[in-house]
Amino acid sequence: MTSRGRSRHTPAVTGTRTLAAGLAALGLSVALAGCSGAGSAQENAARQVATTFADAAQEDPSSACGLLAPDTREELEDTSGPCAESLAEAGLPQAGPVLDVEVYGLDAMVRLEDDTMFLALFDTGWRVTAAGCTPEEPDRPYSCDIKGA
Amino acid sequence: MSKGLREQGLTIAFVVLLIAALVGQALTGVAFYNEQAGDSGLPLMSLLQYVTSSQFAVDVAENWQSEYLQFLLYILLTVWLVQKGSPESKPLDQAGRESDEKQKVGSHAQEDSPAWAKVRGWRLQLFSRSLGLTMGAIFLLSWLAQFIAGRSAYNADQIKDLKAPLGWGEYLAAPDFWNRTFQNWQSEFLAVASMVVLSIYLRERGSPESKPVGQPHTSTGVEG
Repeated sequence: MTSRGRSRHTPAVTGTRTLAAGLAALGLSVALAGCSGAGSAQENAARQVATTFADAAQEDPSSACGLLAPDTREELEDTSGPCAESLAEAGLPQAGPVLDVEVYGLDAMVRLEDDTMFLALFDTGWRVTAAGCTPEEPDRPYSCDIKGA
Repeated sequence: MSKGLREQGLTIAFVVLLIAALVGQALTGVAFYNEQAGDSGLPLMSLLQYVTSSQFAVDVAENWQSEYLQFLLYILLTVWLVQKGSPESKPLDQAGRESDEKQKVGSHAQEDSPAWAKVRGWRLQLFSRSLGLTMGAIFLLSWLAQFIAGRSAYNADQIKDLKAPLGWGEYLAAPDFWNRTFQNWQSEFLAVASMVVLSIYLRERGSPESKPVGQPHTSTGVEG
């Protein structure tokens, strides 16, 4: 609390400059953080990984396993056995074309025609944290065939 | 300390404190984020990633907007509202925008008055309200920043929880946005009310925010 309504002293120029710099920094930060919107490089990268995973899950499950997030792969192997076999048996839907991609920082959701995938951005790139997901009730977690623990 | 530094001491001190607090917030914030992400097997953030993230931006902006709202309301309400006994208040009979003579504007301006205080018209009107307008503009921009960054941070959490992200309208109606807003506002209003009331009865010798130690409790608009 420093509620001063009086302009008893002329504000220092240094203070004004610092304030302006602070606001500019906040604005830049928000622009970087909040507007990771349409057409960004990360959206394209997430879209690419999702479609590659969807195709590989049907035709080349072992390479699709390389696109799973570590915890998701571990959970799959713990509950169903070796990754490639488990993925083939999981019966993920034919995904179809991408309808929508939303990226927020290190997290992304890719809606395909017949599937929804959740992804996270690791040092190695986007990895699938959950796939074969269908919406349940509003604002409830999606029901996913494959997901982390 | 040189005279120049001493004369800017208050500003310098608060800017240093601001930077130190922001550094502390960034270091503890990235540690907290990574603690939670690590527990869930999700990717960790570097410090640079964190300070440019929506998670950091919303935490900064929600506090900034409430501070500027506090100043804005204080600046404006103290024009018309008074509090008997408080050095935060004007004298009881001086509520309002006050006369040109008291405000030293137009023909009542001094030789060293600001240039726009000496003239009539829109420049005087604008300058006469420039403090409130600026505080109000910063408040609105900070609140907008909270909204934009808050939605992004909220949606990142939604995706981590395998939930659908919210659109702009949905987030505007979401508890997250308003809860972040109100929890900051209430603390600011409490702080102002406390300062107004406590300064009636308590003193801080030498502080311009306090009445002189020997000043009666009933004195209003007197500063040390």
